[in-house]
Amino acid sequence: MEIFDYIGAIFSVSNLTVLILATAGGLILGALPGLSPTMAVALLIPFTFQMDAATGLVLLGAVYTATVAGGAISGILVNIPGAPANIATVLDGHPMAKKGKATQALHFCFISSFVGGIIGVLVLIFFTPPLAKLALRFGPSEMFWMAIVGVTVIGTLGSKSVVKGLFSGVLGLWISTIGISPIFGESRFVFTDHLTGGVHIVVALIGLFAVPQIYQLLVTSRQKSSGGLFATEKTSLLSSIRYNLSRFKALTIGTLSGVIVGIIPGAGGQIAGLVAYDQVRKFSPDASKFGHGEPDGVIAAESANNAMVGPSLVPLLTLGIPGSPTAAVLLGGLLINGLFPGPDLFTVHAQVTWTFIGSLLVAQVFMLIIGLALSRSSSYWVMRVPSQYMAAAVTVLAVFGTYSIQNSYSDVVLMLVLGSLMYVLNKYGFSAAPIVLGIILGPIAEDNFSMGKMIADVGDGALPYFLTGSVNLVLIFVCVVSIGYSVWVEIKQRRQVAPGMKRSAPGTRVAAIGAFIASLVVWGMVMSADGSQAYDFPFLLAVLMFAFAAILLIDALRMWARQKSGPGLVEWSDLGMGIAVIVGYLLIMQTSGFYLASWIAFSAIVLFYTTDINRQKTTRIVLVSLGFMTAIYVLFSLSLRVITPGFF
Amino acid sequence: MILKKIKSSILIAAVTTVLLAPSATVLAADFPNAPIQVAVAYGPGGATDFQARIATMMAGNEKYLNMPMVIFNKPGAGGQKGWNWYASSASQDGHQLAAYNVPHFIAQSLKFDTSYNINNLEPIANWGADPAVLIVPADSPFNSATELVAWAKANPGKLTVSGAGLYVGHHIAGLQLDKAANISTQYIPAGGGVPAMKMVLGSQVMAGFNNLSDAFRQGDRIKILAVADNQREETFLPNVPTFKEQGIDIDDSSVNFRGIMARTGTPPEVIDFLAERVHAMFQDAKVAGKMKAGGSPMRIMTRAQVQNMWAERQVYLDGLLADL
Repeated sequence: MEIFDYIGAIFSVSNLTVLILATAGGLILGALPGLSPTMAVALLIPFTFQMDAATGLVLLGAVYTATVAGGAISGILVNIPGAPANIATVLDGHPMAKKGKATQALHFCFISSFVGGIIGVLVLIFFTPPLAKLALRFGPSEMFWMAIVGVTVIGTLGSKSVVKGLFSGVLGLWISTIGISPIFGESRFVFTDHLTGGVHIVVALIGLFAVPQIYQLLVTSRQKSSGGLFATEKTSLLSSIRYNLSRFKALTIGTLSGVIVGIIPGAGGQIAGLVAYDQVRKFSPDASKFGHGEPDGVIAAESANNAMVGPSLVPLLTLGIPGSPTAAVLLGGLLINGLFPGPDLFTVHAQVTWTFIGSLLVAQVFMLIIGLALSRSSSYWVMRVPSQYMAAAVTVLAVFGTYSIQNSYSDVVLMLVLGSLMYVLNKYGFSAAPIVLGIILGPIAEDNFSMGKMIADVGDGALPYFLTGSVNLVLIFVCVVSIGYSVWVEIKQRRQVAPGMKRSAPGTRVAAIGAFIASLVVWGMVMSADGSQAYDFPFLLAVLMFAFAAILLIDALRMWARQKSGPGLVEWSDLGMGIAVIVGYLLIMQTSGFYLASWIAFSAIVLFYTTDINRQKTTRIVLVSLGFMTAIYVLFSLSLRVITPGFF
Repeated sequence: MILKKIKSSILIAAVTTVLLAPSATVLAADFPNAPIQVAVAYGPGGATDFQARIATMMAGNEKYLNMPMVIFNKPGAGGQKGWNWYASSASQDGHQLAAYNVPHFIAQSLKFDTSYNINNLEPIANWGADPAVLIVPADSPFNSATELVAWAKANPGKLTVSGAGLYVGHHIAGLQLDKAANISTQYIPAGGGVPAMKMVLGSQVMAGFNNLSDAFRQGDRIKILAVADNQREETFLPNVPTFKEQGIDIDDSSVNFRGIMARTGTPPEVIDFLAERVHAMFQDAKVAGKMKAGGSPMRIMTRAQVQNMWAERQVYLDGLLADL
């Protein structure tokens, strides 16, 4: 194998140092909400200017690998996925942590990431030429069906009922149409200036996951006198490894899904984990365990999102077509060093290219070692952070992460509004994962459908265009099987459970009425628009939302009498002070600058939510927040030159 | 306990008030006094982003700005999102600049309801010019622009042509081709140069307009039929003829000019300072070396030259787009 002629170069002192630092740094960056792998790699590009080509690429590759795995840490421990790629990990990872199995969940996360990551890179090394050909066969029609495969996953993602899941998914698809349509150039649903740019996926991710978590933490700290969250059980690393490797099916399904999704340019790898999660759940004898801390969910999701990394470089290295947003940034890293994707990479620049690919393998090893070493201590410490401190830290990081994506104050406002709505929706049995998936898939589905239709209109027509071709047929088959299976399971479950019992989720009535009103509002907005082509897709979504809302409503009406009203749904009295601080934080941030405002907000949140406050505690709070802000300042403003709101 | 809370809140409020006191306004004399942010209206990894990062890499040198330039991305809707933000919300003290793409932003300002136009933006300097080229898949039957036009004449409306989006350089080139050759093609606005290229590589479309630099890097995986410029590109593609050489009258109006701009309202002395230093910075040998290595054609222009170029494009595009 050619790689062996070059792999020695990885083990130079400079490359190894970079690998270790990049892996450790990547794990930390990945764990922070908002600093997605794409952002992390983009931020590091300027640093590679000072390095030789191979070392620069080793840095970027290792950071890519480590950030993808790192996003699972915050997902498992705090219920906030570090990046879209980690959403599926959260679904069972956080429930595991709640059961005291945080360390174990992290072990599974890193072991599975390692297995998936290694296999992904091996696929890159051995199968690049044939896979590049396959990648090219994904045109608009194939991409459209790929998105629809993703949509069929939606119903199974963590919602209390399939219909609520589907409704949330369509809501997400609709949110993705807000802003200027890339294909038609028209502004849609922009009823406030904050929405002109649409809803950025990472903004939605942070809002929908982090904000409800902040509120939850605040409520917890009011209701319990002690701040401690959950216990952590001691687990031996060896037993984790043994169990993890014994879950062969989950690992295989995860890795395979990751490899396949990774090759498809533009699918983004963001959905690899979710597709894998859905598959492993469907193949499981007891699907009902998922969502309540089933290790297989973590194993499948994490092996998938790291297995995606290697293959996402296949179309990049051979054709210059990146398979994921992060790979797109890596392309810049290649070009700056004069490395053009294509055959030259493996001949003229073989030394640099093979060092880079080899370093991806070695990075997996470091990721495993560092990750496992951190598992116990991080779960031990994070789980012991009092919830008011955690809420304050997450608030500051969420605001900072959101702002830094595109330096937009509007995004911060949007993040907090979306998140506050999500807090309420959570209480009524809707969940964030299908909404985020909808936002990811919306543009893929719509843009490719529109482009495909334009091509088909001057060719053979839309039906043959979308319904013929082997890749199309395979994808359609997957869709049909996936939907058919979900329906079959739903029917089976309804038979098993006595009628009326199953959907006694809290607030079904209110949820159904709310969903119905929302669907009418969306429908109204679509109908009041000028009815151009740009509204075809939103119209379809309005119809779907209406249909799902109607089903919810009918279900709710049937059980009207038997329902008891929901529990005390929103603890506004406990939250009032927290929300006031956050609003104040937003208001002063633009004039006082990010760091000062954050320091004040952090202290204020902790202060108001700490019981039995005294002088000593106050001093400690002020000092801890000062230390926290200093750490952020050194890491981001001094080292990475991330731009912050306001002048400082 | 409550009393203590109130006390500490008062303390915090007092600290806030002191620190919130208005900071001294920045004087042009000590410009720049902080890193300069440069907004790029396209995503990370795209040609504009990649070139902007190279073009601004020497800013921290004391010969130039003595402060680093930090790139940040505001992608969306073919650039509209980023430029809308820039022209309406960016600071006007010279610490927030933006990268421009001509003809994109001018064409969009004519065609859509944007908050930007050439009258509320001030060019600083131009670093690059990337002509649009007409490309077809490697196994395409077309070997010249003439052959492609002949087929399009025989099959009206059937020729699919991909490009990076609506009213970007590629789209303008497509409109010019339709007009000059008197044909009608089906333009497919992909969500960026990379997806547009992918559609040509995968033969999902019959042809495409794409950036010269990106097409050059594809080597023999595609065929480059013509350059939409007034003269051939001598460094990278000396053997590819222009449209004019093939009897199709297309000038350089679709050439993608890239450079740095400021908001109108920025103090004139700041603009003058930037215009001089940024222009010199683009000429740095290190910048030129990296640009060449990355296959990106440079065309360095002064502020005055860019002002003329913007005005010319505005007049031309007004005419071209009015016909639609």
